[in-house]
Amino acid sequence: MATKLVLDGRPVTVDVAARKPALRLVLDGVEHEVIERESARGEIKIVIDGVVFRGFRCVTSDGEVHVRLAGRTFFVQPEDRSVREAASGGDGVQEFRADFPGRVISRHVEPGAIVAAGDPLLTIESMKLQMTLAAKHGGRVERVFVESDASFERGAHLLRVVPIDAEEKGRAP
Amino acid sequence: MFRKVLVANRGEIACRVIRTLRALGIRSVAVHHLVDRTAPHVEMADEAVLLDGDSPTAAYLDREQILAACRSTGAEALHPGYGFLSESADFSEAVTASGVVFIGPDARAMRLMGDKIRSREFAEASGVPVSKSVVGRADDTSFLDQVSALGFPILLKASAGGGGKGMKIVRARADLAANAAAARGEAERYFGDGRIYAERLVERPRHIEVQVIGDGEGTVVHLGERECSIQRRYQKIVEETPAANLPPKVRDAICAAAVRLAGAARYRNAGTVEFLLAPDGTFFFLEMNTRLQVEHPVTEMVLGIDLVAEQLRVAASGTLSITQADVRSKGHAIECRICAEEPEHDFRPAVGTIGCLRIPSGEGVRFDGGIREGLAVTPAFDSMLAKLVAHGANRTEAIERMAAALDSMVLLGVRTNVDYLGRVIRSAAFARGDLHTGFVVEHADALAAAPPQEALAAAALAAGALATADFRRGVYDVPELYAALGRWRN
Repeated sequence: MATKLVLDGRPVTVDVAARKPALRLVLDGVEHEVIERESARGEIKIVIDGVVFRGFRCVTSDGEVHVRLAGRTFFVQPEDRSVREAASGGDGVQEFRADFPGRVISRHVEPGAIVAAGDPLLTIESMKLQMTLAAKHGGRVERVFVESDASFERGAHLLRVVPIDAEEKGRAP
Repeated sequence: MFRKVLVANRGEIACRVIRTLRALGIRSVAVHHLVDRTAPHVEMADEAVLLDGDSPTAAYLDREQILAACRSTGAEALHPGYGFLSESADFSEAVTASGVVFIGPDARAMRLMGDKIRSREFAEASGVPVSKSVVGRADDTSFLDQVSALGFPILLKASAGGGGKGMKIVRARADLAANAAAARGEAERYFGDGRIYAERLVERPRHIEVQVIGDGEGTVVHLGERECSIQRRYQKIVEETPAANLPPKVRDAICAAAVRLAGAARYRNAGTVEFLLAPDGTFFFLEMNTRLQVEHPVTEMVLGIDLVAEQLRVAASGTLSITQADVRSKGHAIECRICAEEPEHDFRPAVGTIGCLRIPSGEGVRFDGGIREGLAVTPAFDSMLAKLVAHGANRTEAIERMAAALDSMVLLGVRTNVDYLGRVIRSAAFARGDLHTGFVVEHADALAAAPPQEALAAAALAAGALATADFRRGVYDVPELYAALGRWRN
């Protein structure tokens, strides 16, 4: 049974092909012989088909794995962490949630507004930086969960945009 | 010299100031909010005073509590660092009034330079070029003559509005009247006010600034320029000195303008005069920062001067310990600001806990940080975590050392711009020194991460998968029969 992960934002699968005599993993569709060694303080050695990579690894409290190999940083997440983004692409509902705590600077839309891809929805601030959330696809603003100047916590619902056609389908008898 | 100094700041700059205090044998006092009780600046200082506050930022901005901390600890002077209260003239005045030396300019100079309009007027009166602008009506021929006198290209926009509505770029006198009429039409339509604003448009501008230090009596020494054109979201991320490909005549003119301005203001202590440089070599005064800059280490690296020590000397004695003739630049230095952010998502800030940290070292490499493993990166403060600085005999060597230092830097647990900075430093445009403030946007595609080679991607995925709880169990927690055959664990 393959495990679904996300590597740098890209969905991938990993599976065990053999444990003995050597560990063989199917990584993103390709089988490799893998040796893993971890020493103290996050240092790792990964051998892929005889090629040695030395680096560092750390698991965050969210279960995300940060890997540093060959002067490059990789992020590996369990699939459920990215379900949110995948779902919003799937049925066309765009659910905006806070990735970190912050404050609402301004609301650019009210519920009921029809928006096009790229239209600004909400300007928020966190760590002294402002950013504007924009619609990824066109749709209708169903709800805005936050008021101007309000603070919000990580994971808070901010805004939901629904596709116009889906909404009409929903209304059909 | 002072015996005890209070540092009214936190993070890397508080640590950096305390380092110099220690080197000079001066006792240091840290102030901190409860969330920072185990922060590096608190641990480094000889004494620490807890500040109450509804939020961590409010604590570091609480003048009364900081003044009380000076009194209770017997600190003779206060170093404000940058940010927080460092540019508050009222605070500088209150500190001085309480009998404590404020390590920075006096309130008069801070007020003069802190006001955008007054500082520009003062600069112009001091013979420092400022970007001129005029406001008028498109049907007024004398207005059009004034606009032409600014020099082309010119930016026209509605005087009343913003947001790019009615904005026009005019490249030649012949096109001015028609564009001004069109701009007026849009200004009237959108804002009900037909007046238009015109300014000289600087295309591909460079951000060049000059470090100065003054004695408050009109004597000012400049410590060379810094280029800070690599910016994202209008904030600097890479700075260097000397500025690449800057003609000596232009450099001399900019540094002389900075000295003229600071001298006229009878500026005391360290400050930075910022300019916008146009491709044709003309430059305009932007603003003066009346404090130590984030990017001051590049200047220290090429001059072999400790700017904080110089600040302390000026504050203690009222005289400069260096003359212009003492200032000799050697080699080239680059600084990268390491920030908790996601460059691939429009540089949005990131939070987390630093889980794995390895600080680069090596010849010419300096790391100014206030971070350690286990430290939480929260949205309460600025996203800058540390500064990495590399010095080399020339720009090429500084770039090589910076690239190697960034490669060996390990900071995991919170997403950072370390890899992105590496791509900036290694880019062909950076190597050419073809810099302007739109660099990050212009080269967005070239600065995006290239796909890793296959074996590296497989290694990263294997390392990641084997650390995710479910997959790891499936690999290593095998049934007893297999275990008996010799399961291995590391």
